[in-house]
Formats: sequence, structure tokens, C-alpha cells
Amino acid sequence: MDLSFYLHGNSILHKMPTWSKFALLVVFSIAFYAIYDFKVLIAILALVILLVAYIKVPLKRLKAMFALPLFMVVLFSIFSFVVNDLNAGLLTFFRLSSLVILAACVTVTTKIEDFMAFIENLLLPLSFIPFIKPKTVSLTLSLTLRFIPEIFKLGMDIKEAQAARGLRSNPIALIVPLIVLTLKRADDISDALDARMLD
Amino acid sequence: MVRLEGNSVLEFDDVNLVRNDQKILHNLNVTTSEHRIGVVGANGSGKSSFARLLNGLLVPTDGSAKILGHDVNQSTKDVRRQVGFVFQNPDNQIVYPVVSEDIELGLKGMDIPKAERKAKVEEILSRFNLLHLKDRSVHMLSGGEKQMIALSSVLIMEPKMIVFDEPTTLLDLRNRNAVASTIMALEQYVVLVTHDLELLSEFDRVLVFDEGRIAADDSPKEAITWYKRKMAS
Repeated sequence: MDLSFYLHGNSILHKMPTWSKFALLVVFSIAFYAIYDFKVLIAILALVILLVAYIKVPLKRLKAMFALPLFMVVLFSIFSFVVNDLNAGLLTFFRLSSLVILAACVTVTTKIEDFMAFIENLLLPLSFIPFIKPKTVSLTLSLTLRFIPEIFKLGMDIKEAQAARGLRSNPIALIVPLIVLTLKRADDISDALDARMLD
Repeated sequence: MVRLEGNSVLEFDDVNLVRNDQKILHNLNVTTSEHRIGVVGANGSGKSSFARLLNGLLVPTDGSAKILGHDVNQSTKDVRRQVGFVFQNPDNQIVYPVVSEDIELGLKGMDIPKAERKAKVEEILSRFNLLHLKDRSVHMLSGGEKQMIALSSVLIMEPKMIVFDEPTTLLDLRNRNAVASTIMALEQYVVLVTHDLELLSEFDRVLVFDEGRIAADDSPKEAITWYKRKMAS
């Protein structure tokens, strides 16, 4: 389970400042919803697929990146078709597909570090609010990205240990030790943050 | 690296530590000026608490603890700036998901320009032949690689002293040897808490902890012999 999707490269997207990529993403998201012409929407989808090829995303990575988001796009499109009509379903499919792929292109060309710096800068104007500390928010996001795979692995280890003892799969038996171990881990991480002067 | 020739590195004067109404350390009196200090003891003997006092992660309940001339109670930040800490489990120490980003993290609070930070990260990774791991996801690394990354993230801050809390416990023999030879090559003052007695053979001094007290304080050979006898009894 890898939540760090960044891919090395020298594409234009890699070289663009993070803020400009996100600004473009916002502009495109709004623009896509102003387009009703299928020919244009299909052309846009083809272009964003070409963008993926240009960034040279490996096939294995493509599956990991797109499987769940595209599944969601299909679900939304079906919902839109059922609630409205075929035309609305297809519009939803083309718009969301292009958007999801474009967002993925931004993800694979932006280092987490740059993304965090962007979030920090974005929150800077709000730092006068006592509970909003841009550095803390960015550190929290980093910790989340860093430790989701670790907690997932911890869960697998607990499951394996229980299976080795002949216990059948039981959500409660998994969740309780997982919470206890995660809290213990949080305590250790807090010590490590203090030791690294990140308090 | 400038050492404090002739001066005390650690200066503990009647230090007591109480946690959760339990006395963990009793009247510690110890002064050191040596380059490498080993710390051994049974589980629960207080050696990890002692290590945490050296970085200001814990502060004495009473008594005075001075590290490199700074009082732990009064100048915790100064102590932390000068004393790096390497934990037993590097997974708890590495905060960012990508190797280079994690190593760079500590430098961000020091007003160092980005280009210089990047150069420092590359320099420290090259020093340990880890440059190929620069853009890797942390959770894809082996235990030994993680421990070396944790150490790199400490060394990049240029501490004067590094405290290791059982750094080889989770490692296989090859990685243990790699970490051991790295520790031996460090110019910084080293305090190493370990159960790996072989690691301490070339240290300058070894403290043996027993029930929250320093029960033996001697050369590695003498102290380890004392400790083994104690463990056998």
C-alpha cells in the first residue's frame, strides 16, 4: 500500500509550480461543467489520456491510481443516468473521468513536500485564527500519509497472529488490539517528534 | 567536530525520576567526559528513561542533570538542539512518507535556503551510500535502511551528541553490523543503550543499570563481566 504517488520526470507538469497546477485544476473543473458538447468532452478525455502517456505513468501504477476513482465515476454516472437520463449519465462520465485523470496527473507530478508547502501557504492567511496553525496542519497531513500504510500493516500482522492461534476472522478481535497498538504507537511518535524538535 | 576536551559531557547530580507515582531512577550521580558511553541493564532497569533524560524527553523529578553544559530542566530546547536521539524502532521516528523529505524536515525550522537543504540531504545520504533511496517511500525500505535513514535525519542536524536506544534490536546481522560500524565511526559523543554487549567492546566506558540505579560503572570488559555475573545469579 503506497500513498506516495510521486513519479520522477521532467515533464512540463513536473516543472510547474504547485500552486499553478492546483489553480489550473480548479479552472478546468469549473470549465468542464460548462461544456455540454460530447465531441468536445471526448476530445478533452482523449487529451488527458495523452497527458498520462506523456508523463509516462507505468501500467502497474495506473491500476493502483485509477481503479477506485474510476469505479466511483462509473457509480456516479449510473446514478445520474437512473435519476436523470442517458445524456446526463454520459456527461457525468466524461466530465468526472477527465477530472479524475487530470487530478491524478497533478498528484504524480507533485512531491508531497511541495504539496505540504502549498497547503501551508494556502492556510497562511488563516493563521490569525488561534486553532489553525499551517505548519501543524501540513505535519498532520504528512503523518497521515506516512502512517496509513503502517496501520494497515499492523492490522495485517494482528490478523495473521490471530489466524496462527487458530482464531477465526473477527472484526472486534482485530479492532481492539489495533486501537491499543495504534495509541501506543502514537505515544512513541509523539516522543520522536519532540526529540526532532517538531513539537 | 569539536569535543569539549576535559569538560563534562553528562553531569548528573542526585537525579531522581518519578513517573506515574513510581520511582524509575534513584539518586543518579554520574559525570562523563568520554567519547562513547555504553548503557546496559535488564528490562525495566531504567536505562531507557536515563536515555530520555539526555535529550530532555524526560526531565528529572529532582536533582540536576546537565548535558553538554545545559541544564535539562531549564534549557530543554538547547539540549535537544545538541543531542540527537535514535529510537529502537525507526518507523516511529520517520515522519514524512518519502526519504529525502523526512531527512530535510529538521532543517526547515532553521532558515536554511531550500537549495542548501537539498545539498545537505544528498551529502548525508551519499555519506552512507544511501543516495539511491532518496526518493523512495519510507514504508518500502528494509529495517536496516530505515534505521540508517533515522540516523541520517539526526546527523543532518549536526548534533554534538547522539543517544541510541537499542538501535540494533530489530535488525538482522548484516544490518546490525552496518549500524554498529556507523556508530563506531561517528565523531559525535555517543551514548548507546543496548542489550547487544558485543557492540560495547570498543566503547570507553559502560554503565550498568539495575533497579533504577547505576550498579556498575567501569571499562567495557569489567562492566560487562559484572553484568553477566549479575544476570546469571
